[in-house]
Parts: sequence; structure tokens; C-alpha cells
Amino acid sequence: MEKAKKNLYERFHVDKFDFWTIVSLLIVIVCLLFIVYPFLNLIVQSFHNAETNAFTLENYLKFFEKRYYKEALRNSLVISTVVTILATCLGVPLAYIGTRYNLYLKRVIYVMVVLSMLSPPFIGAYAWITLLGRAGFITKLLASVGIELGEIYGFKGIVLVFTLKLYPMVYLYVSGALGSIDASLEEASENLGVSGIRRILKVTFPVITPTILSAALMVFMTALADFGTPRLIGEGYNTLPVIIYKEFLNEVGTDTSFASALSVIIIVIALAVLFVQKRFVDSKSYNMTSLRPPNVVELPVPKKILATAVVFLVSFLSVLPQITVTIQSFLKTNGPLFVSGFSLDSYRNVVDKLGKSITNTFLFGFIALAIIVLLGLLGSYLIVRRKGFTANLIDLLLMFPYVIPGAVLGICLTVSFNQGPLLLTGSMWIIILSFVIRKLPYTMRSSVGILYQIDKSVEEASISLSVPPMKTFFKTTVPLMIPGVISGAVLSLISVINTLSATLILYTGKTITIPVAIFNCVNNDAYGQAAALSTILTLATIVCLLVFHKISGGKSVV
Amino acid sequence: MSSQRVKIEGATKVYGDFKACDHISLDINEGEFFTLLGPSGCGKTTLLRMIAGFNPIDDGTIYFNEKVINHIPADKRNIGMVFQNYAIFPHMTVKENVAYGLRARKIKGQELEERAMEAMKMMQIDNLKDRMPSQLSGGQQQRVALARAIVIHPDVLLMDEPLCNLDAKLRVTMRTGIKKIQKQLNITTIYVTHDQEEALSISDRIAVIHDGQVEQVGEPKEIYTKPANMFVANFIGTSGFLDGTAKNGEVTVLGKKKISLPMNKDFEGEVKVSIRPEYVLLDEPKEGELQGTITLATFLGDFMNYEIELENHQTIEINEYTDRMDNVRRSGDPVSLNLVENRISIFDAKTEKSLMI
Repeated sequence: MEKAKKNLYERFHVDKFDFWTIVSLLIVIVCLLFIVYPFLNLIVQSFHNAETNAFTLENYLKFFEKRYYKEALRNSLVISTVVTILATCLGVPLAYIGTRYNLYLKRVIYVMVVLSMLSPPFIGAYAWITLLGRAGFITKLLASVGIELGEIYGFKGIVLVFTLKLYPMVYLYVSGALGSIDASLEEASENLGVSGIRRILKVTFPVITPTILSAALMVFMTALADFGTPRLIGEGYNTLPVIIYKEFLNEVGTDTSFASALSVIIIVIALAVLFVQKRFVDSKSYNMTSLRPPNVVELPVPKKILATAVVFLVSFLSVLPQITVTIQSFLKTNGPLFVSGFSLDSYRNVVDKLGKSITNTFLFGFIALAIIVLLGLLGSYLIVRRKGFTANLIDLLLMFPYVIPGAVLGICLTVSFNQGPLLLTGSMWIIILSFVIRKLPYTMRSSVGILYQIDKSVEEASISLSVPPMKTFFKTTVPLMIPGVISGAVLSLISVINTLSATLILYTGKTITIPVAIFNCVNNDAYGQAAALSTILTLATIVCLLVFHKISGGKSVV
Repeated sequence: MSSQRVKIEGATKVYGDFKACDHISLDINEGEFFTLLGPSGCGKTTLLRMIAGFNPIDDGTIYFNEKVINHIPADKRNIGMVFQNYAIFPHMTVKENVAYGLRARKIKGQELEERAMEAMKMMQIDNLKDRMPSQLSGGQQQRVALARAIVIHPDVLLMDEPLCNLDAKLRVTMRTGIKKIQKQLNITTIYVTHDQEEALSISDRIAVIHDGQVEQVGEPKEIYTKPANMFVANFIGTSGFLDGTAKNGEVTVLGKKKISLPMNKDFEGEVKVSIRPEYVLLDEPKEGELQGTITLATFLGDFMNYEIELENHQTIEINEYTDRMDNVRRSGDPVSLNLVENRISIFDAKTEKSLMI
């Protein structure tokens, strides 16, 4: 009996029942309840006939029989692939120029790139519509001098918005990798007679291939999952997330089962892409010790101006939507139209009618932030220091939300918590839950990274000085981790206050957030209010970024 | 200060199929400076961590005096521990680091100040008390780690390769310092190192550990001059091993040179003759002696180190002090080798155990 008990403990790598055993049990329960259960529920729903309550394949058959749905699937794949290729082709060379040459305005460029990456894509979509749409500012300007611009709506518009919106991810990831290659690697190549562009292609890029692929994956996933952009600028060019919304929020009646089937299909695609990418990255990963960062080349003035102009122009284009809406927010409006003259009317309107969305956004964001920090601290400790069955399980479960698009998460949560003891649908908690589930994995990852840097013997030293394990955790480990964890969580905060997809499914009048309010304003042609809210959101994002830089001591945002 | 005797009986730690510690038994006296010496991966650190309470003991018993400590958690064992990388709390000043264990023991006010100050003075870091660890050198961090460990008046002091991150000169200074303080406090100390020179210089007694087992326990001189087996002979200092046969208490080395030694007279058969580089005298080639040719001569300051290829094509190392530099030898010179007989060890070639009495 004693032996069997010992074996059992050993199998789960638990020496005894202590504080951490309780924590790991709690986290496992939370994961099962809020990640596994909703997801399984979604799968069950997708095989469910709403009328007969029986098991059925008809939801999937319906999808593969109708051209309308197959086309959406094809559109989603085409858009995601094209955007991934374009964003990579744009981001990688720009990152090379940006990191290796001493450009002018480096900080300005960095801020523009970060800002455009952090704002929600659909704001880009609607801002571009106000510039290049049928009644757009630039369209009219050009028309007045006799130039006809083609249609921006549909495929072209989606690709434009996504590419400008998503290449910053590639830019920032790749910049980080390029900055940490050991200089001697490239010097060795040049010493062996391979230099210039050949050196870049033969040494530099192959070495950072895993990073490029990770960034490309992020781009693909974001483009695949985004709903707002194709909805606003697609005009009939339907993608999977758009159809999911339409089915789920159908005015004639919600078809939960079919929306669930669509959700499962999109998750399967995401998983497949993730799997392929992982296989590929694993086979191409190298361990490098970086001793000396590469030199920043000082270009002669004409070339320096040219290089700066190229990078500046692209980053300016990507931040142009923000600039546009900021200007618009101070314009006088007449119904949906902007008229000449400045005023603060839009802000007054927003505060009067949509003030709730502003307070909600920050309230939900900060509650989610607190939960994420707490779970991130505890969970990363389990994964790193308490290796074993439960730790692996937690690690695996937390991979899940990476591949679940916001819309799908929204549906998962709605169908899972709409009754019984855990009735959350309609409350603010379900929105906070969606924030936490989406962002916890990122904080967990970065916390795990931070914890690996902290030597375990620091804790052992504390224990050997008679401070029990739990107290040791709070007295030594937590103070050492907290700056890194909080700075990571601030990035999550930026991301959740900007999130639209899941919230759009989960919100009610009382729990509206800024992105949802902006989306509704755009749909109701209240462009002035949309612009004011977008500006407030951008401002909040900038404030969070400043806080992040203050805490992290100037670390990169990716 | 209450120092304790540490008794280890059959301590065993198993990782899967691998026995990190295989029934290790040791008896460490009160106030003794005891070193666990062995190559990396031999299990010495595992054993130390079992004593500290960081590795559970799979089998066997560890006593502090009469008290079994197997199931006492690490934070209740009252040990002081110094870690390889110091493990200074990076978010606390030197003084806060030193006072950390005192606060955990609910020591406050005047007494806390006095004891922390006393420990810091002893380690000569009292002038650094308000510094953060990032502003300290490696040697200073080491002193903080030691002050933090001794300030709590531990029953046993454990040190896990505390000097291995320091440069060669500082290592020598620190080890003298550690030994002095250990004697001054008379605190039972268990010290882990892979550096045989450090172990020989600092310890009262040494346990040589290999593959999770104790090869030999003894005072430094005993271990060096009377290695219990070929592993110890090879690990402590440098040894060359020559083939020989034993009969009637006499050994014939390489089928040529006969030597007689105080050894087990009953043993007959293949033996290994272990020689230290400094206990072979070189001479002009002479009939009837072991002969060889110098293949490499290296100047090392106070002595020359020669690689010599013997007639059986085996290569051994010999040192010759430079006070005899007038006859410096060169690569290619033929030499004969005279073994200093009372410095030779004989081992059973099969069991590798010492045959010396």
C-alpha cells in the first residue's frame, strides 16, 4: 500500500501533498472547465440537430454541399495565404534595413510600426474606406482632377488592410532576431568569400528562418480569424468568420449547430497550419550563442535618406488609418458626413451615449489583467519547477486558445455557459473570461521564459534558510518575476482592450466595449463617433505602451 | 554553536534505471570539514542535496546526531547552504540577504542587527552592506552567500562547489578563508567539489565518489599516497599505469624490472603498477632498467613535464624538477626510468583494488 502510494506520487512527480499540489489541481480544474469543456461542447453541438436532438452529420454536409460556404472557405484560405506572403515579403526586407542601417527617425518608425500592429484591423478597414471608398476623401480628391480609382472593396481592400496591418508583426519579430544574430557568424561568411546579398540569402535569412516562420504563422492565423475587416470592406467577399457571425447572429434565428460546425472547420484549418509550421520550424531550429550583436552600418547620406524614405513610407501607410480617424474625430459632422470645421461634438456624443463602453473596456481589461498575472505566475511556476504530468497537461491545454479564433471562442463560451449553475452569458464575466482565455497563453509563455532565467537555487537558498516553500515563492520568486510578467500582461491589456471578435458575440447593451461600439457606429454610419472612440482607444494604447516601456526597461513588444 | 555529527546509512537515489547514489554510507564527525570529491555526474551533489532536503531519499537513512532527518522538510533542517552560483537574492541588499534567514527565525531588532553585522564582519563584507548584488564581484557575492549561511548558526554547513566560478587566484585565497572560518566556528561542514587539489588542501577528510558509490574515505595524505583502487589513483593527482606480474611478494614490471614492495604476498597474477610523475627518476639508458624515448618535453616553470614512450609503446608522463635543469632533456632523447619504490602502488589488474598493505 505504502509502495503503491509512493509510485502514484512519483508518477505525478509529486513529493507530497502541498501548496503546489492544490494550485495545480485548481488550475487543471479551471482549464478543464473554461477551455476543454466549452471546446468539447462546440464539437458536440456541431454534430447536433437542433430539432430532433439527435446526432447528425448534416451540419458538415451542408457546408460541403453549398457553393456559398465552400467559396467562403476558399476565400479565407486565399486571403490568409496571399496576406502571409505579402506581409512576409514586406516585413523581412524592411526589418533588415531597419536593424542593419543607421536610419533617420528610427524611434518614430518604431512607434508607428508598433501602433499600427496593436490597433484592431477593422479600424484600418473603415479608415481606408473613408479614404479610398466610394465617398472617400482621396477618391473624391482624385476624381476632381479626373483620376478614377478602382474599387477598394472586396478582395483588394481586404488584402490591402491586412497586409499593412500585419506586416508589422513580421517586422518586429524579424528585427528582434536580426539584432541577436552573433556578428561573427556573418563575418565568418564574409571571411570565406560569401558577402553582400549572397551572404544575406545563404547565412542571415536561413539562420532566422524559424523566426520568419513564426511571424508568418501569426500573420496567417490573424488573417484567418479576423472578422471585422472582411465584414466592413469585403462587401460580399465572404470569409469563414463572416459566415460564422451571420449564422450565429442570424436575425431569423440562431443556427448554433451550423455555426459550431463552421467553427470546428476553421479550428481544424488553424491546427493543420500550426502543425505543418511546427514540423518545419523544428527541423530548422538552431541553437546560437549570441556574444556580439551585428554592427549597424553607417550609410552615406543620399543612401541613408533613400533607405529611411522607404521604411518611413511603408510604416506611415500602416499608421495612416490611426492618423485619419484621429483627424476625423475633431471634424464637424452632419449625419454620416464630415463637414468642414473643427469641433468636439463627436467626443461629446460618445461620452453621452457610449460612455459606458469606455468604462467597461478598462474595467474588464484590468480585471482580466489581474487574473492573467496571477494565473501566469502560478501556472508558469508549475510548468517550469514542477515538471510532470499535471504541468504538461496545463502546458498543452494552454496551447489551445492560440488556434481558436475570437469568433469561435465567443460561440464556445455562449453555448457553454448559457444555463445552469454557471450562467455567465450576458454578464461582464463572460467577456472577462474570453479576454483571459485569449491572452493567458501569451503571458504564460513569457512568464515561463522569465522563470527559466531565474536560478532555482535562489529558491532553495531561501528554503534552506527556513522559509517554507509557499512563502519562499512569494518572497523570492514573485518579486523577481513580477516586472517581466506585468510588462507582458500590459501587452495583453493592450490587446484585450482592442479586441472585437469574441466580444461582439458575447456583449449585451450593458457590457459593450469600445471596439464593439466603434463597429456598431461604423455600421450605423456614425463615423464621427467611431473616429472619436478609435482615437480614445489609440490614446489608451499609447499610454499602456509607455507603461510597458517604463516597466520593461525598453524591451521589444514581441 | 551546536555542531552535529552527520551519519549517512545506505543513502540511495534512483532516477529511472540510473542510480545517482548507490547505498552510500558515511560518518562525518562533529566540527569536521568533510569533502565529497568526484568527477561530474558521480552523485556527490545529489547526495549533498539529499542531506539538504532538496532531493527525497529513496532508500537509506540520514541522521543529524541521533535524529533521523529523512522526512524533515528542507526548511526545517537548520542547515546552512552555499550554492555553486551563490544564489544571492538579487532584489535585496547585502544586509537584507544576510538577515533573511534571521527574520525567518523571528529574530528582530537589536539581536538581528548584531548577528548580521557579526557575520558580515567575519566575511569582511560589512562595508558593502547596502549594496545590491549586481554591484558585487564574484568573490564578494561568494562572501555574502557564506555570511548568509553561517549567520543562522546552522547545525551543518553544506557547500556545493562554492569556488568553481571564481578565477584561479581568488579560489586559493577563498579556500583558505573558508577553512579558517570553519575551524573558528567549529561547524560540521560537507563540501562538494570536483577539484582534487581544492579537496586535498581544504579537507579534514575526503570521500572519493564515483558512479554513485564511495571509492575511498580518508585524510588527504592517505588518499593521495595510498589510493584504495585504480580509480582513486587516477583521479587524485596523475598516475601512469604499467603492466606487471606478481609472485611471492615481488612484482616484475613490463617483464623486465623486478621490484619488491610491502604488498599482499599471497597474490599471484596480473597487476597494474601505478606511478606518480614526480616519483620516477630519469637517467641515461642503462641495461636492465625500464627504457623509453622522450616524445614531448613541456616547460612548466618549476618542473619539466615529459611524455615518454616506453618499449611496449605505452606513453606515460614524468615530471623532473628544474633545479636539475643542467641536464634538460629534449624530444627524441633515450632515457631509463628508476621507480621510487616506496611511492608505488600495486593494483589487482582484474578487480582494480589495491594490493598494498
